[in-house]
Amino acid sequence: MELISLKDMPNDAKVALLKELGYGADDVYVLDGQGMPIKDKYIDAPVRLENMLILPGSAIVLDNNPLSIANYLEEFGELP
Amino acid sequence: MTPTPDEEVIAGVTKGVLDYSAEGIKRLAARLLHRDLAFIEDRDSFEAVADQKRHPEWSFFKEYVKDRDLRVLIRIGLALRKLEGREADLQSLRKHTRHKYGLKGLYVAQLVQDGDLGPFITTLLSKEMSKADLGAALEQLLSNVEKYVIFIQGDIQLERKILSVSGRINTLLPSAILICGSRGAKRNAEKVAKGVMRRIDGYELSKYEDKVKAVYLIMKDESPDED
Repeated sequence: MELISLKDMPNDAKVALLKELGYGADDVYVLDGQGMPIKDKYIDAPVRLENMLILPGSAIVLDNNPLSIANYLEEFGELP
Repeated sequence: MTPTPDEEVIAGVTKGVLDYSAEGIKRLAARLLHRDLAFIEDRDSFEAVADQKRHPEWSFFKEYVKDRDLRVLIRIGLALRKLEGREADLQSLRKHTRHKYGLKGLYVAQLVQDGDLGPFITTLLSKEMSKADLGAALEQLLSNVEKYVIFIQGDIQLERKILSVSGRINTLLPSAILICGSRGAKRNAEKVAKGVMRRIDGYELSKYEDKVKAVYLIMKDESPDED
């Protein structure tokens, strides 16, 4: 599996990608289809545009932290 | 100059990742949905967890520990170890762990980070237990970490701690208890372990020590009684 760093991606490209996946974004947070900030379900905190992960499994958007990654891998299995 | 068809193909492949046009974004989204790529923030943080699949210690734990929360905490412990030296990342992960799993969860992660389970696992393996029994013993210890793992500090009242631990063993009859002491607390850990052994029956004491820490394993003696 290829890993693409969001650090190197321009902000407008991030927003376009999120829109393509059914999400949105304001200047700070990732938003759901209704325009509400989405929460990382593993740490119950809003996901910031500048510190997010987008992982396979119906395009899961998470906060970038090891606890969320560990939970994701337990729920969806190891990444190839 | 107009590119040749070959040049266009090469450009298409190269720009497959970097092309942020509307079509490029659609291709990236499609590849994500096909589990062909993932978007991460920085490789080091991500791989502190994702690369554990190549770690022999994780291979062992995932074979024997089936409880989902314990598996997550073990992954966190291994990640904490990987992040050692990056103080801000360590503090952030400890904070998230305590918030979600409480102090008990943090203890489990810390045990794994410090490698303190090694003596216990070595002893279990030496007993040639079945896979199910070994897994159950490991899960029992981790699920009851606040009762069965004692972290000794340098400034404790020794007699009170000895009475408390031996009382716990005589009441709960656990299959194993770990007593851990690091640096200045190593000597206290030894005094507590030996003091406890004088007040209990039917348990064996093993000691594992390196320059930094000492781990005492008090484990139920399962050898058959001699008549």
